[in-house]
Amino acid sequence: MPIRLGAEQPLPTAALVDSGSEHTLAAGWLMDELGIDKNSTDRLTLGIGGRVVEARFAFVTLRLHRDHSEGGDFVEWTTEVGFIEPWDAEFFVILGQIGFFDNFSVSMSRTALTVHVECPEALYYRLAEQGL
Amino acid sequence: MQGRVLHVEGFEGKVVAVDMDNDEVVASADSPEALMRIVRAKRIQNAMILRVPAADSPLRVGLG
Repeated sequence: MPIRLGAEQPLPTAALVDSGSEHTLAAGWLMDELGIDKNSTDRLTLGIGGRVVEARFAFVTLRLHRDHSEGGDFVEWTTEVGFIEPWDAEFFVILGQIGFFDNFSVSMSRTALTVHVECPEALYYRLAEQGL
Repeated sequence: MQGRVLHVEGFEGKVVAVDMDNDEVVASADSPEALMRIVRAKRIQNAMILRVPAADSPLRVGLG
């Protein structure tokens, strides 16, 4: 799904919604795009894709639009994102547990080719209506 | 409700900007940094950035 990191980023980047990732991560080149000082970041060693990498964490405001296009409603939230170099995946952001799943509930359907993102309260209400 | 099918054939191995309305490539480059220079120069809007896997890239089945 398209997601924008920071108001300064001219275009959103493709992001992978990954419940198996503990953190929200992004390609290192986005640090320069966002003007983040690499020396001011917290560092954490992570295992990803079968390799050990060092991620530089910084607080970033993420923006998610309701529709595919850039117009219309959107939601913004600020969270810690770990930046990793090198980055060879086709997407440039991984939306993980901390930074994404702690803000939203997510439904996925391969059949419908759809990822549905909503606030957790909407899920709570649906479950309550079903007595769950 | 309808999913998206990106039209990125011919751009394998490139970093591209895909129009968010019609899913067509509107700019491409060999690196994200080069693509961002193009995006700014051409003032491209309403597009999403991604890397198109090279033709010989193995299928990605997970990150762990």
